[in-house]
Amino acid sequence: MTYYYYNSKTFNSFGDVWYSFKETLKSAGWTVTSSGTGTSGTYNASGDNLLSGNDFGTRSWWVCEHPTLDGYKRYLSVQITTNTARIKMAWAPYSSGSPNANTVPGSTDEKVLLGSGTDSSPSQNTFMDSTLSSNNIYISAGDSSEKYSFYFISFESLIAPTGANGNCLLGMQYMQNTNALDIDPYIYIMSTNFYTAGLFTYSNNSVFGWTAKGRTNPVWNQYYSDTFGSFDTGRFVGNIGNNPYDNSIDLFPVLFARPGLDNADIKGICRDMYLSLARRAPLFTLSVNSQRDKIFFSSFLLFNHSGAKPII
Amino acid sequence: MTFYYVTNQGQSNLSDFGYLLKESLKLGGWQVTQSGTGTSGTFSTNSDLITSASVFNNTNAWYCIAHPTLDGYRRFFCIQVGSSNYQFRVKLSWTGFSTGSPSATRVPSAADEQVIWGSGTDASPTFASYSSDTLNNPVHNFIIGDVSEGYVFYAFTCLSATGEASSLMFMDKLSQTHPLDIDPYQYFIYGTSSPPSSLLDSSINHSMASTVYNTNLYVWIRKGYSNQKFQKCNIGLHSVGAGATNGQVPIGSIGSNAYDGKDLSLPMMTFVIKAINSSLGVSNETCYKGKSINIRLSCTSRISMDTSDSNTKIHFGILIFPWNGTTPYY
Repeated sequence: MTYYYYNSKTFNSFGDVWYSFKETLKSAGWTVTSSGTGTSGTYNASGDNLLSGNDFGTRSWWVCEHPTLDGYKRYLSVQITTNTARIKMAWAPYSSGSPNANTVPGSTDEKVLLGSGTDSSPSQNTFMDSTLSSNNIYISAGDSSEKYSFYFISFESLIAPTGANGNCLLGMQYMQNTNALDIDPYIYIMSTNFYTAGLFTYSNNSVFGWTAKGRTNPVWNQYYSDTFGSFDTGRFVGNIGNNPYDNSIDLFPVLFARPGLDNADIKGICRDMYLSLARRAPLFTLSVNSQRDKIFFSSFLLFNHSGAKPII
Repeated sequence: MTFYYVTNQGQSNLSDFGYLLKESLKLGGWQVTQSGTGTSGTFSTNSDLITSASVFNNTNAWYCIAHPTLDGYRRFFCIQVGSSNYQFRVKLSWTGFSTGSPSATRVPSAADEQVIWGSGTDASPTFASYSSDTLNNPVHNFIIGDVSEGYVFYAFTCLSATGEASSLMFMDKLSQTHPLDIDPYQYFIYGTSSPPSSLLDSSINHSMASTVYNTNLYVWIRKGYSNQKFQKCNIGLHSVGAGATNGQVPIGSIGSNAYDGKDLSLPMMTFVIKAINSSLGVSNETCYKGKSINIRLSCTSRISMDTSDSNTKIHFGILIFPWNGTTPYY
């Protein structure tokens, strides 16, 4: 059971940040299968040319994959220009299209998580605050025993996030209690404003997953988190407080589902994400199974943490 | 793991629910500790004088019943019927009903008693309608757990004409409770004698999941401590995304399983929240109490008394209980 963590708010360039993300994934077992260093740069059809933060030019990119897990691989395509990105996930390899130094390859079943446009004419969306020094980066990547789950969070500000930039969350999170027929027990998260806009709400199209993947009619669907509430006053999470016996904080796993007559589904429980009944400031840590092994990324949302004192 | 099922019980007397509950609980090992036969009757401090439904069908008849000692404790219920014999007054105690001035028409008292249905005092009780009057032909069902199930019980009543839920009472055991919690249970009672209404199912749901309506779900907080509190609480409705009302998507709207079309369900989690208790003058305790071991919430739209999962589950409002396969009569 190994996670690789990265936390910093000191960078020489945005390239340093993206490089750290790529390298953390590689530490966990992902392999870069192709890359480009951007406009006027170089292209590698079979490997990684992004050898440092200095190699991330305009529209630079990489594609990586995790090793075969339960019979399948998943592929991540990341194309960036400073603090913006176009990010895709796929089940089939990125082996089509016309890739070059500043153009990513295509895949037959790719899904765009961030950005828009096409591979030849991409539109990249903001992932980090445009002021480099305003970004506080948290990355976690799990190895094969952790099903290669990862998260990549850019935190803009602890005290007063301005909301427009930063506070982005990119993640591939392994789910438990999924249907036995579900061959893709993951949710894919891409939220560009999770702190102020609220993560996982109906109107915040942040979480996706496959419904009935592997069957004749799989559908790429939006999923929603399950927070408890009443008929009248909405959510309980963050509003109940500490446990009355020992003043501890009760944590809940997060269930994801989607209502509706079509493609209704309870996806499962996110293994590494938690909701708290008591509110805490972001980057507050809890020691549940080991020292500082859980960290608040909003007032009631937690992920696993390295145990290190967070950089605030 | 043993449940006793007493199913499809019709009603000859208006008070039959109270008698049927007693006889059903006895199947699971509960014992009547005291009883009174009501107006012009007799009482006993150590036996069951309610020998038939007709005996209980007498104004102010009553009984106290308790399960055997479990994990060092017993739980006692005291049930009394009013002059309108579908009306009851129900109390709960840990210490046992050993004080007061019991008689044929007056129940005993307990130092820690909690009145959970009806109101008033033992000397001047106020009763509340629970089961329906005979015109609506209620059908009573009981699920009784033995010692391995923690002596839980679930009593639900529907209207014979429509199957609509009209009354529900249970003592339900919870998991995920705090290690220091010596009363990992929740207690619920709600009923009505109203004519059939499409709102009845909703009323059951609101009575355990609303912070505006007066919920009828109770738990102990810090039982055994000097600052223990018996408080109203709520089940946490699963809010999947934001819906039309305060972020809720009605539980039944998730639908069936996308892979095999089977019913979906979610756990029933119980919380003590501030709003309902502060409005009642109780200090603002809040906590997560636990998760029901036997009850789940239905994600697939069903009507009450529908069965599912090869008739091993039965639906009552948004709740799902274990079932023995009997075809519900209504």
